[in-house]
Amino acid sequence: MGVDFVPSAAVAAALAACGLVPAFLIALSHGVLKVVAPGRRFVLAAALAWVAWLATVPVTAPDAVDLVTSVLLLATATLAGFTLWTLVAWGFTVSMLLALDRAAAPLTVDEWALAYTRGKPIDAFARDRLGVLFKLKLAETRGDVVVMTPVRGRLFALAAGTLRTLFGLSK
Amino acid sequence: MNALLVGLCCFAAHVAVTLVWLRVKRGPSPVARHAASALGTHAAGVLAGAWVAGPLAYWPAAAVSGFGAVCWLFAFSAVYKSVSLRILSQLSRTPGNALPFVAIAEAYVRPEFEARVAVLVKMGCAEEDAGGYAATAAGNATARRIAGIQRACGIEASGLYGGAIATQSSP
Repeated sequence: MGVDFVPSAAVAAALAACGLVPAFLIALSHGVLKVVAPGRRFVLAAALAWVAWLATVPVTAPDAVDLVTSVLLLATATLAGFTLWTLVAWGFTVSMLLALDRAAAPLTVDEWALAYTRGKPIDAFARDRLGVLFKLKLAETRGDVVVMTPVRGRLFALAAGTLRTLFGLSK
Repeated sequence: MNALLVGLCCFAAHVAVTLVWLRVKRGPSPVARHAASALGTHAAGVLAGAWVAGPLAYWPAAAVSGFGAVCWLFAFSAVYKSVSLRILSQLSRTPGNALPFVAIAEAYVRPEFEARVAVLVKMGCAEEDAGGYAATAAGNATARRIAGIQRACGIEASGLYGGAIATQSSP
């Protein structure tokens, strides 16, 4: 019985590339290199990390197991990084707390919502979240009515419902 | 190859543990349960794998079980917290799969906001008095830490996917 914790050269390169995801993110967040849109910034940082790892592949010449390991390690770092990034950039509860912290005096729920949207009505928040559904073509607008798209929207709703049931969450 | 299979077994065990544990009413937060289960099943699985299969390379097992755990948490988070997916689920349950925009904002988005207010109060980050809601000392400290992380990440305004300033306020 024994566990070998020493990574091969290919896996070590992948681990280093994982560390590059936050490093590139910070680099692209300030100064002349700054990418303004947080979503694009993350995509570019992750892409640069993947390119950096790909550049090492000819040198490290990984076998099949090392290749699978390296890809999965980088995919894990990308997905975990994206999850944390969405929390920092767009997190609902996090942003609500920041809005409350900025307020000089106690807020009613309506005032808190206004502080959260920086003066926009609650509609702005609804529209913002609906924008995700529109962008992914899961729903569309017909006048003042929002309609779920028949194929893609239905499939996503079905998948979300199935996952909620699987995780034991209420419908 | 054995190590990849061990990683797959760790992930399968993690799935089994979380599906049971998430249905238990009391205990740590769902995300903490995911983390504890992922670490526990990973450690136990790697040790059991090394005992059964002999010397084991750690990183391939870690890559498979880590990637699986992050994907699993991502899927859970999407259906547990996503406002957009909640709206889509509501649309799928409505006759004609359509809802007026005003109804979505008032009947689904506003309650979602109020639910998060309750979460922040329960977490001890906000408190209600006669004048409304205010951040507690713990809430202020948490907000300052988050603001520091946002500054390091070059995020000026959080909360809305479209950005607080650029978001449309009318249909």
